[in-house]
Amino acid sequence: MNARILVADDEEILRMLIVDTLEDNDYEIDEAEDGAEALDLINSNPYDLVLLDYMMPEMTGLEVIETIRAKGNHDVKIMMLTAKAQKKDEDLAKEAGANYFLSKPFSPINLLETVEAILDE
Amino acid sequence: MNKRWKNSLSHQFVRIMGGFLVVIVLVTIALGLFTHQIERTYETKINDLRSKYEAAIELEDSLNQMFFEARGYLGFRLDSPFLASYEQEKAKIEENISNLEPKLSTDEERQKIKDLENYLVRYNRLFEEALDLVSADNTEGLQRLSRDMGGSDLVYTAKDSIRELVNSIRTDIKETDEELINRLSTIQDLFIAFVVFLLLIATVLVGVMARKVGRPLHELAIASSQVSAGERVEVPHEKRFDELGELARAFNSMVMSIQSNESKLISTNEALLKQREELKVNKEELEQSVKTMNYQTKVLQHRNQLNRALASTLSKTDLLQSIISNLIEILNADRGLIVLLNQNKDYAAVGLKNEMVQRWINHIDDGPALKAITQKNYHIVSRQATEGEAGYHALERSLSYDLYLPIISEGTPVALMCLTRIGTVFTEKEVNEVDDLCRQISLSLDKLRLYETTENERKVTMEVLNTVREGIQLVDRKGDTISVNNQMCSMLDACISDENRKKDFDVWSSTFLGKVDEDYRDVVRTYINRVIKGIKPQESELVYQTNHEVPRFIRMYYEHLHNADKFIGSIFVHRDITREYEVDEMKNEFVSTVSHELRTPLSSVLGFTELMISKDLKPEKQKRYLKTIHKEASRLTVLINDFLDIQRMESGKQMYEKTAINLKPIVSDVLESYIETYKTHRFNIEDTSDHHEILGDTDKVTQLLNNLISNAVKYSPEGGEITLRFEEKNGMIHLHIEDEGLGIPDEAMSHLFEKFYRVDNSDRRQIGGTGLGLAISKEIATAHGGDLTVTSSLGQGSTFTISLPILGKEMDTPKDGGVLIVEDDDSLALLLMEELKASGFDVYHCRSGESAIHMIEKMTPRGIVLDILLDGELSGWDVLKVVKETERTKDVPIVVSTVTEDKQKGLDLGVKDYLIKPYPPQDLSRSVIKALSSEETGEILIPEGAIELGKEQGERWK
Repeated sequence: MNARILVADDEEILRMLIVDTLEDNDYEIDEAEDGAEALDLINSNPYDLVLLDYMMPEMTGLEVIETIRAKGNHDVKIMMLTAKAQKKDEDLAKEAGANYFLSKPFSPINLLETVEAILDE
Repeated sequence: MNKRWKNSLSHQFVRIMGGFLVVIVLVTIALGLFTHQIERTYETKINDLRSKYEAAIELEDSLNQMFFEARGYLGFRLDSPFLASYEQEKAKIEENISNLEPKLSTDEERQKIKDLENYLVRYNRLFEEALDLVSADNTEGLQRLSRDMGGSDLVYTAKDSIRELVNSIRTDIKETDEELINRLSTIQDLFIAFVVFLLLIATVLVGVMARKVGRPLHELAIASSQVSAGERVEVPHEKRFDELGELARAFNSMVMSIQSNESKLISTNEALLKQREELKVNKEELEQSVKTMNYQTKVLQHRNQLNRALASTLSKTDLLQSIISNLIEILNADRGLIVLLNQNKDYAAVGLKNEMVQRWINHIDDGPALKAITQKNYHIVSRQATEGEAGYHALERSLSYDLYLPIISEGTPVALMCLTRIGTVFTEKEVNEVDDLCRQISLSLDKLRLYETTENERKVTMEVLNTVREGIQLVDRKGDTISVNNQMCSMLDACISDENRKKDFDVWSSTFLGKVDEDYRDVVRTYINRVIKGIKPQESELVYQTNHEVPRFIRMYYEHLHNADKFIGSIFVHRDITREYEVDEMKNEFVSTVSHELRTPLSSVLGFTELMISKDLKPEKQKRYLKTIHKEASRLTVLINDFLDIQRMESGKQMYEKTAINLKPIVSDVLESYIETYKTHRFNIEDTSDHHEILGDTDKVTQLLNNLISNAVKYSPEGGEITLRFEEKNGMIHLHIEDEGLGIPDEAMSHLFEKFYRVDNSDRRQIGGTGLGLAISKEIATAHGGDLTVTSSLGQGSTFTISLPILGKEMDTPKDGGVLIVEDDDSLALLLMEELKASGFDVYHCRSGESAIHMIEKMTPRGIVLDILLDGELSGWDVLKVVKETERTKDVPIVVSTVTEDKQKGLDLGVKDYLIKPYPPQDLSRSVIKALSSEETGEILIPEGAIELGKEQGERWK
């Protein structure tokens, strides 16, 4: 069974970049264009990992995490991807319940390795 | 007791009454018995008599019957029944006689019966003879027998005898009845006699009682009235053993005790009378001393009042008034005045008119006043009382005395008093007393001077403190407020020193903390609590936020105050750093946003590059990646340019090279490229305006048009019509850019021109942009003295409108001598124009420095109202510089009206007046009119109908 990953980012180009980065690993990848869509998908699918952008329309990544965790879903692993690169933003994300934090711009190779490591845990 | 009882009147009375009753009862019983006895005797007797009577009657009847039978027999000679009846009757008679006999009571009666019996015996013999005769039928014998032999007589005698007996019995009965009646009436008489006797006895008894009780009582009554009349009496009846005796003895002892008390009372009364006499004497003495005391009290009161005034009055007028009025009372003077020997010659007077005082003061360097001052000693002048003075007094008191008293402080006379008394000379004692007071007065005047100096200094200090822009609060060692400046009050919307109670630390601190935002409150509380105790807080200063509707940020710091190393209080300084804070926040926000905005395209560029380096990719993919990288790099470039633009514009460093340009060809040129690129959209130009010339920077205007037209294209992804419509309105050219695109949601309208704001929904996701375009466009429009506005309805399209001032239009054929208003606030400009127009001026209005300079090139204004911060590149200072450097306009009066508080700079540059906003509009028109009127040439007249104040000032300055 291949790992299921959700990529949520409002920038199509970035989604493409992430999908292309992960494409060789036969993951089952879903995409979401905004926070609300991401929340719906997480609620209805058992993802092994969610890559979540911070600044999204409808609902920010932070709000998505808070909602998920508030509903008692503590299992799904979430990696926060954000252009907000300051330490306080990372703290905020971790506090809300993000498991990992990756700031933009990121290295696709680095991302790939990290995702593999997480899914191997 | 028993003896007393026996002797008592009650006992006697009871005894008499008892006896009385016994007699009545006994006599009554005796009478009763007697009566009864009589009645019984009568009854027996009458019964005997009656039965006797009845027996007699019966005898009589039977006798008559026997005679009747005998006659019958004899008459008719019938042997038949008559003889038998005769025999019967004869037996009956015998029976009746024997019946009657025992009842007879007298010999006479018995005799009668014996006679009767004899008669009967004789009759019987006769009758038997008769019978024989009858039987012999001898009638003659019979007749002879009846007549001769006395038969008939015998019958009649017997009949009479018995009749007599009956009658005598009847008489007896009658007599007996009469006797009874007689006896009863005797008894009745006896009873009446007894009653009369009783009454007599009663009368006698009452008489005795009256004598025995009434008299002694009367005597006692007389004795008691004599006692009450104060006579000495021997109380009678004391020796008696009855109640009267007791009463007399009690009365006597009462009299004794009253008499003994009376003598005591009399002696007491005498003592009291004596005392009263003494008291009266004492009272008179006391009254005398009270009078003296009252006078002394009055003097003392006034001395006290004076002392109090000297000690506590800090108002010069009050103090002088108090000194002179109290001194007059103390000396019992009639009028007086005190004059300070200072510049102002402050004075207070009692009983003198102001003119008189003034005259007196004018001659203070003359006469007795001068003498007192130069000799530094009092002296008294006696003089004839003036008519006015004497008017109130008796004629002989026609002398008045003036006491001149200098008040010396440190060897220098500082004040002079003059007190006038009419008719009575000032004694040395009085003068010495007052002279002593003068020393106190001198001290008090010194104190007052010192106070005034201090007070002035304090006022100056407070003035200084109030002009400082920081809020300053001074607290004492306990933390209670000593004073605060105005800024402190306005900063907190509450003064924490107004009323006494607000000064307490607890009160002001809670008021103050109430104004501090909750998040900061605890920190601030700890901070002030430490500071007021003289402890250094952890931070020497802190920043807090107020909970005003629009929060303000205040930096607060403190300073401990020491006096000779002793902690005496603290100063808190509150500095409103809202603006700095906001600028700082904005900067942080900007940097953070910029960094965020840059990181997204950078992620793409770096990411795809890395993928290309690390992966073996198909050529098509490589090309796609390269295209993406190129696109994102271009986006980065645009972003960076936009950043730089907005940064320049916001910091006021954007340079506009404005020239007169025609908007229409520029619009056409820009549109040309879009028509070529976007075939799905139809572009139209509509034009109803005759003027298209503006003062503008071609590049920036082009950028503005590009931003708006590209937005119109981007946000109508389905294509449609895009119309550019020119319209002229109020000296402005309006360019409407209308699309039929997505439209803008209502909630987004107010944020539309904010930096980095992007309408946030999925339809727009595909549409790229930096979120800076509209912010930049708005900046460009306003920098040209215009504006950028928007109307939209969601799903039907939007219309962005650029409005720019038409060149030369706003200053339509300007004439020399008009007033030029350079002001970017339209409403204020309008208000001012109305005021000035009403005063008869021609008024021209420019929004920007550029257009103002343009205008001044064409005309020479009479005056200029100049704002410093203006639309466009140039500031008021630039305009001012141009005006002053141009020979033709250098004397035009300028009034600056601005929020920029740089008054000195303005005055140095030669402006007539410098008004700091906000101010009431009338102030400005007043100032303008004043500035125009005071122009040095003096030739400018205030136009007809100028406002009232203008007229006055115009006249004054002519």
